[in-house]
Amino acid sequence: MGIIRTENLGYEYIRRDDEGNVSGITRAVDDVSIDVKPGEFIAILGHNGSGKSTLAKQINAILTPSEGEIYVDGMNAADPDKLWDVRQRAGMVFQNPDNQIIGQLVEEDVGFGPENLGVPTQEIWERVNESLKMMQMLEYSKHSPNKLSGGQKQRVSIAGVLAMHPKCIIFDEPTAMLDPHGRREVIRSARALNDVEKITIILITHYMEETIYADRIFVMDKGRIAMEGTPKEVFSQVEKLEELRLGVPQATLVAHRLKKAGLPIPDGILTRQELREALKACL
Amino acid sequence: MSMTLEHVNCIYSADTNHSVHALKDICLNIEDGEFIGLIGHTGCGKSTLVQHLNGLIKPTDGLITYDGQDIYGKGFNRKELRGHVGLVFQYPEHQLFENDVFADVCFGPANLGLDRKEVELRAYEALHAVGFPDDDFYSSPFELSGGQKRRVAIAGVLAMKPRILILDEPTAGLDPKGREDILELISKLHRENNMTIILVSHSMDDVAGYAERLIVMDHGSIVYDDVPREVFMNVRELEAMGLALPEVTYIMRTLKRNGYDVDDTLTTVDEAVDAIVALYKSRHS
Repeated sequence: MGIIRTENLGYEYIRRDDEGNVSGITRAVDDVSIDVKPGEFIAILGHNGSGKSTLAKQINAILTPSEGEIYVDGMNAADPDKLWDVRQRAGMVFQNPDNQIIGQLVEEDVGFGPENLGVPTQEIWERVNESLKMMQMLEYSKHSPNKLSGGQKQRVSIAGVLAMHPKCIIFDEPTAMLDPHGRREVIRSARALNDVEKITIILITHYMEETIYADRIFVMDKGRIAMEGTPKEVFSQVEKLEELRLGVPQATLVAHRLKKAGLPIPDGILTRQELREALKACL
Repeated sequence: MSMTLEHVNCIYSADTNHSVHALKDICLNIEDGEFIGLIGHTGCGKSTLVQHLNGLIKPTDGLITYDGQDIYGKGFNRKELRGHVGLVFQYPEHQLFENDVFADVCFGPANLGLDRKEVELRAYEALHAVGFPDDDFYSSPFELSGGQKRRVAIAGVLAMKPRILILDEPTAGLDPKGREDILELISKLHRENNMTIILVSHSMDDVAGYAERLIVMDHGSIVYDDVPREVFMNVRELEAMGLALPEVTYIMRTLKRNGYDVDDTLTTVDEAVDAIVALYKSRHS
């Protein structure tokens, strides 16, 4: 049984005028059925407004579905009695680190989650230390979060989620505000949590390069799953992705353009190493 | 209208034990019609620097001149300077506030004290310049997509008719097509109106594709100031600063290391494709 399973999931944003009458309905998620296995690394791509974040917020029970069902670790995410359990199982890391850090000290911030779960004090500190260690931020535990770099702040946010012992972490554009170094730090952390701790990862991003190591990619458009497959399968369809306002990793783009220029290059090249091998074969 | 900075220093919270030396002895000359990319890791002083250019932050010491005049000299009109040097902040759509798009774009020029007709004409031109559809002029800015909101926010600055346009990470959070659209728009303003552009960015691919001059900052100092290709030759130094090369440059370097005779300083996809195709043809003819 999947850790996250949705059945014909739908979500509608309803706009109302001053009198409370419905003035418009936007269908942000439309008939989405997915099944994520424990330990998978899933990437979700899609243009602005395609429904990615709405889908993510339903997994975390921030939004409850208008239609269909969503199960997190076997629990119905729409069940109000299961709200806190769902949020403990599936943690979320948002785009802007400054909006999710509340503690005066790094360790306080990381302890906030388990404290809210009612974890005994001694265990809170154990969890805080263990999570900060995993994110290689232990030496900063007595620092003020304000003075950290963007990548470090995001790692503190991730540690805060880890301290709740989740089975799944959803990253909603965690690198959009970071410099290249910070971006690398965060993506490496996500991959390590997946590899070593076997935590299921769902990564929403606009940076194609960040998704090449995913097990599967879902591409969303108009609230639906428009494409699904391994990175190789998805990024082989350069034109289709461009139609969906997306792109491909730079190495894939170069390979695609070379193929169009007549070079015998295979589809689905994702990294510069693969491109090098393909060129070795034909040059 | 050129702008110069001479030995500019900025110290935040000077005279306290929290003082931060954010800009260290910056000397810079910005000529008319340049397209400058400004890069550096988070906290390196980029945003502090650009806020000095339109007088939002006063330097702790040093001289800033616009068109040869000291911007803190007697009688210099700094309000007018802010019309000439337009600054688009990060996530500018967070600053949209009016009921409709058109009113929002009118806000800037109206504050310059222009008459109503001129204000509306400018707003109209600015919205056209960013490619915003006429039909949506009177919709609420809050109902637009992320990319459209950002266009409106940029139009709000364009309506002030700036000569220098500074954009702080204008593509953050946008999808790939949205990123490309905004960069094309900036490039068009540069080409067609000869507007001076300063693009602050974390994307090496973006600055490599568009900027003619690249300034790299680290710990409050300018470390490199050259054409992108020259700057990106300093691989180790850039990586140590938390930056990177454009992905294309990494690809070309990989090929070169494997014994192929290619130029490993190329920075754009077009250049790389041309170079590899030429190499292929030379070996198969």
